[in-house]
Formats: sequence, structure tokens, C-alpha cells
Amino acid sequence: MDGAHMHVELESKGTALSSSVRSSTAPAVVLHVDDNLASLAMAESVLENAGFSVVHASNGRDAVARFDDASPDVIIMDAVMPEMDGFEAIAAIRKRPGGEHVPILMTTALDDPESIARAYDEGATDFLIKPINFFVLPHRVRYMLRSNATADALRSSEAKLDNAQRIAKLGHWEWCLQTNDISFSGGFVRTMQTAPSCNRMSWQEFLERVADADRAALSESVTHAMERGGPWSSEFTTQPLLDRASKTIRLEAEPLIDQDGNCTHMLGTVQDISERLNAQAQIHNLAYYDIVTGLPNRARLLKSLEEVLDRASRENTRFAVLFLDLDHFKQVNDTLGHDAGDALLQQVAERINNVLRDSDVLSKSDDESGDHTVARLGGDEFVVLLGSIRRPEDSARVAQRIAATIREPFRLGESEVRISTTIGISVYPADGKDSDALLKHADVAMYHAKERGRDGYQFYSRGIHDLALDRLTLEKDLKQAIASNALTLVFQPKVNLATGQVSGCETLVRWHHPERGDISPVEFIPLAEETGLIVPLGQWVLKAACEQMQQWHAAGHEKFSVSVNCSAVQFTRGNMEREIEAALLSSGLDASYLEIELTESLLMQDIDAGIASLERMKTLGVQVAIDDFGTGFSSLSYLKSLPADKLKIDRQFITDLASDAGDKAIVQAITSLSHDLGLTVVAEGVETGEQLDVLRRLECDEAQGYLFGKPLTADELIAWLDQKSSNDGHYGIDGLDSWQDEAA
Amino acid sequence: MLDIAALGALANLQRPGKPDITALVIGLFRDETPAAIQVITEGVAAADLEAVRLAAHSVKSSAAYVGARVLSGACAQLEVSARDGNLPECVVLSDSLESLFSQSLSALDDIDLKAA
Repeated sequence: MDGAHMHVELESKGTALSSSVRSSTAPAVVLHVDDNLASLAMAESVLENAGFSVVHASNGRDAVARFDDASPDVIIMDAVMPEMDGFEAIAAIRKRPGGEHVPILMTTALDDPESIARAYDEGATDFLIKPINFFVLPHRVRYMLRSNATADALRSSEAKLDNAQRIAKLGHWEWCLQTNDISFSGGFVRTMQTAPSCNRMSWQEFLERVADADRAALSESVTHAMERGGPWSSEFTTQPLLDRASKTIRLEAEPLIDQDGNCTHMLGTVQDISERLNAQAQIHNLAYYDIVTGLPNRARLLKSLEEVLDRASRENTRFAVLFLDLDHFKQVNDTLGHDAGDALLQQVAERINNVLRDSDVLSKSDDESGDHTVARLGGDEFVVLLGSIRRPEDSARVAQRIAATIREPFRLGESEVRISTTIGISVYPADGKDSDALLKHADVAMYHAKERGRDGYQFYSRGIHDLALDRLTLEKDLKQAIASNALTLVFQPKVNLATGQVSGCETLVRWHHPERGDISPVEFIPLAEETGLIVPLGQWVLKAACEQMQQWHAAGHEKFSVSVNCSAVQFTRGNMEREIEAALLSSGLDASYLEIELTESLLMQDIDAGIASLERMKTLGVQVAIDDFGTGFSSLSYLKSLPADKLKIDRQFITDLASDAGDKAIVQAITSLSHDLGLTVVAEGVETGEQLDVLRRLECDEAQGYLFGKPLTADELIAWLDQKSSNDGHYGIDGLDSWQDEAA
Repeated sequence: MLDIAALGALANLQRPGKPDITALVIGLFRDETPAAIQVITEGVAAADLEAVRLAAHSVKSSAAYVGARVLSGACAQLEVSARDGNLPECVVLSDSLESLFSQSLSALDDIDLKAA
């Protein structure tokens, strides 16, 4: 053996896998295990002569020990030995670190085929017939070293590939289309989370690892690639497994085309890109969200602001920017520390978000609460973007609520902290038409508010501020008026056209403001509806009307019914019948004398819910009238299923009744239809004798309007009734008198 | 009795400057075989055929290396008989070993003398 050859062989062995990396100039070590000393001596002689270094062991047990301390490159192992035989020794060495791949040459007698078979079973690399031909031995040993070096290199290459695939979270696969057999690397198993024991699968089994939602698209891509050829790629999510989250996979593949142009194989990789996507999402989060509070940051706010601006300018709507600064925040930071400061900011963020979530002003003005953004600009500055408002005072209300919620004490660990906030408001388009101007002006307004004393809000524009303040004052006053019984009821009589008797009266509410005088219902009813005050207002009216009527009944006045309007808010809240029941109970009024008026358009919003609600009211025994009939988009097919008692024809059909044939036809049709359905018909807004005349001839049942009487206070109504009862029951209504005269 | 070619092969293993390999192997044969034959004789007497088998295996190789063909062949047969559990065969074979060994030694001495 010349040194140069040995040098090459040993160098090629030097891979990362070798547990014992020997210097390339050292001779290869042979461990010879034999209980026959002559055999050992002869082999040593020939092996050392060939340039090997030889280590001896005289039995299996000895061999295992020598293996550990001598790290041989090759082992020659006798089969039959005392203490531990060669088979056991091989099995033991294969389990030692580094023993897995060391080549082992077993020496055995030719007349013992069982031993040969067993030697291979236990992990022998090759065998040599005894008696040993010592001249052949070095060549055999050299051959074994060379083939092991090749195997080592292959294992190393495979290990490197596997390591590379593991690091890249990548796997490769090859799909034979003819057999529908996919073979794949260990990296594929890790990436696709397939069973480690499975090393082949069909395309269908592969697809089972793809999430349901992505399967069809991947199938389509693959079909397309087979037809068209050329590399292709796809991304999909893995089907989640019980114990593991699903991953996002990027697949790159290339079809193999044979000389006939047919696709025979598909080669490809799969790579787990979940972490990269997560990192991207995290980067996005860092870029657009505040770490302390989780709120959008300035960059995200500006994006939202641009979107809102875009829509507002397109749809010609308003929105507001609230600039908040926490008062005395610095003191909290200085005295309690930054952690407490951060905790406070988090609680502030939560409270502001709660205000937006719970704010009926906003949810009413826009169903998409997502239009509103709370952002932290840094430090103790926040911005609330109200993406859609109807009136500036809506933003003032939100500002008030935010200020109120921030005023509540905060608990920071053991400490209780009280702070306040000052808010500046700018409104689009009045205070600016771009983000910069709106933010700057809200900021300026905030400073003005600070100058005027903290814990308040201020609009940028004086005019808007005054207007909003005015509306808010009115709201406060209305609330006060309801609570203190400062509202009054008036009653407009309804007359039975057949008998000339008063059949009932419609209740209307009046508000005499102590400073502003009479305020029109046209002004304060919408205000009440917007602010939710319509609920207590409606309850008050209902209760007061019932009490008034019961009082008249008790006083012995002629009995007629009282009607009360039901607002949209009351109706859609769905508990109107309970309010009615409560009013009847507390007043003692017989239910048959109470009539509830609902507008047609209100019912049509949700006809099935409307019918159900009417049914519940009817079970209380009250009368139900459909108000403003003919103005909405009523479906006549629903009319017969409406559990109503009356239809009130809107005044728009009455005004020109005497002269307009069309109006007359409509009223006639409604009257005729209503009678067929067993409904009473009431004409609203009757002002002239001519109108009355036509209504009479069309057999309309009841009428109300200035012709019979304008809305009267309770005292006026009683006086009026008394006067008329003494006048032959005709109530002195001019029109009615004349009609009755004619009838007579 | 003696395979001269085996001894020639043994002599060819000799490296310059190293102890005489032929003398070493023949010495080992001479020194260790009596003990092995004793193990075989006692093993046969005690019907411990596993001991017989191992010792016969050992002598088989040692004898072969020094060219003691007949002794090696007898030990090979003995090893098979011991493995097969054929005690009568083992008795017959073991009885011949002492004599075969001394004949082999004599033959080796002759060769040694010639070589010397």
C-alpha cells in the first residue's frame, strides 16, 4: 500500500458524519478481533505491512471496549469466540455512537452457511472465508474503506441536503404520473406534516393535506401546468391537524416532458412560508399600530383619514376629527413610573373605544361602526376619527362622553388615579378639506380648550361650536322638561261623520321653553329621536294621555278614545306593548279607549315584525290605527293581514279632494277597500266644508282637522265639549252642522 | 502431515526487522495446543460439547496456519460433531488428537531444522 492512495481514501472519508475525524496523514486503524493469537499475529503482520495501524481484541466484549477507545476505521471480526461471540459484538457496536456505519468484515468458516446469513443480519458489511488468505486481506480491507467512504459521502450529501431543506423549511417531491406515485424527502414530511412512516403517496393523498378551501385551485394549477408545460407555483394552506396549526405553503414545480411531448413526471418543492407571512404581518403591525395600546398609530390614522375624506367628498357627507390630550398625564408617569403610565394609556384606549362602541349617536348615524377610528399619536395624544356624523353636535356628544369616561378614576395597581382630557374638534368640510388641515385645526381647537380650562372640548370653528352648544343645551333642556313634567298635551278632536259625535282625540305634545318660548314639535321631536329622548318622551305622553282620559271619564264626561303616536324608536325597541300595559295599569283607563297610531312606513320597514308587534298590542285590547296611509310604499297584499282597526288617510289626499279627481279616486278606493276589510277610515287635515262634503259622499267614517277644531289643551277641550253638548250634541262645528243640515 | 505451502505463505508475511513470524506462529501452536486438547478431552468426558466445539474451532485454525493439515481437518470434523451433538463421534475424534499433534510437532521440527 503506498501512502498516496491511503491519503486519498482517508480524505474522502472526512465528512461531518464521521464521529472520529482523523488527521489525513494518520494511517487507517483496523480493529482485529480474534481469540486465535496466531491469526492476530499474521493479520497484524500483513496489515501493518500494507500501511494500516492494527488494534487487537480477543473476544466480543473486548472488541466493544476497544471500539470505543480506538475508533477504528474498519473491523475484522471472528465469529466464534469465548465470552461474547462476533454476532453479539457486531450488534453491540452498531448501537455505539459512530458504530452505525463502520465497515465490519466477519471471518467465518465456509462450512457454516447459517453463520454467514446471521452475520449479515447482525450488520456485518462483508465476510471472509477462513482460513484467512492473508495476502488478500489488505485488499479487502482497502476495498471496504473505499466503499464506506463513498457511502459516507452519500450520507453526508443526503444529510447536507436534508439539513438545508430543514433550515429552509423546504421539501422536495417527485410525482410519477404513470403510477400516480409521489416520492419525497424528509423535508417534505416536515413541511407538509405527513406521517413520518409514510414515504410515498398518491396525488389524491397529497391533496388531502391541502386545506379544503385551497384544494380546487391547486388541482386547477396542476392540470394547467401539465397541459402548458413550464415551471409553475402555487400557495396554499395545509389542512389543520388535531395537534398542530396549519401552515402556509409555497409550492414550486416543473413538469418533465418526454420526447413525444407528454408530461411524465412533475418535480417540485414545498416550502413553509408561514413564518415569513407572520413576520410580514408583524412588520405591518409595527408600522401601523401603537405597541403600548394596540391602537392604530399616526400612519394608520392618516390612511383611514384619507379613505374617509375620499368617501365624504364623493358622497357629500360630514365627519369629525377629535384631538385628545390627557391632562396631567406627565404627573402619573413621573410619580408612578412608565409602566403605570403605559397601563393608564391602555385603559384610556379601552374607555374611548367603549364610548364609540356604545354611542347610539354614532350607530344611528351610521351602521358601520368601523367608520370610527381611535388612534394614538404618541405620548398622551389620541385622535378619534368619527367617519360619519350627521351634525357637528354628534361629535360634541361623543367628546362629552369621552371626557366623562376619562374623568372616572383609573386603578393602576394599588393606586387610584384621576385625570381628565381636553378635546379639540374639527369638522369636515367646514374646518378643512384635507387631513393635514383637519388634524392641525383639531389640535389648535384642543389648545384653545386648554386655555379655557382643561377637561372640556372645543370646536375649531366658533360658529359650529356655538351651534353645537345650542343644540346640546336644547337637548339638556328637553331632558329636564320631560323629567319635570314641563311638557303639555293638546288634543285634536276626531268626529264621527255619521253621528256628528266626537269619536276621539289625537294627543299631541307641546313644549313651552322657559326662555325660548314655544318650541315646535318639528324641532324637538327629531332631536328627541336622535338623542334617544324619544323613549322617555313617548312614555310620558302615553302615561299622561291615559291619565287625562281616565280623569275625564271619572268626572263623568262623555267617553271617547284617545290616540297616541308611537315613534320608530319605541316601536323597533319591541317593548311598546309593555309600556302601553304599564300606562293603562297606572291610569286605570279601559284599554278600548286607547288608540295607538303607527305610520305606514314604520310598519313597512319590517312587515312581519310589525304584524307581530301589532298582534301583541291588540291582545291588550287597544285600538290600532295606521297613520299617514297612502304615503309610503305600502303593499296592499299586506293590508288584509295587518291587525289594525283604522286607516288614517294622509292629508295630502284631502287638501285638493274637492277639485282633484285623482285624489278623490284614491280616497274612494281606500275607503271602499277598508270597509271591505272591516277597517274604519279616518280623514286627516280636513279644513273645508267642500272636503267634508266629498268625504261624506265617499262614506268616510271619521275626520279630523281645523274644520272641527284645532288641537286644544285639556281645559279648552272640556270647555268646548261642554259648550257643544248643550247645543243639541252638534258641538257647534260649522262644517259638520252644515253637513248635518244638508243631511236633514 | 504437513502442508509446506502454508508454511511458505506464513514465511511470506515476514517483515524485515520484525520478529520471526513463522517462529512466533509455530511457537503459539506448540505452546497453546496441549491446553486446548486437554479442554477437548475433558469436555468429551464430561459431555460438554460446547466447550469441545470452541476448543476444536481454535485448534482447527492454529493447525491450519502452521500447515498441520491432518490435525486441522480432524478438529474441523470434531467441531461439526460437537455442534451436531454427536458424542460417540467426538470420542473417536478426540482420541486421535494427541497423536496427531505430536506428529505435527515432529514434522515442524524437521522443517525448522532444515530451515535452520
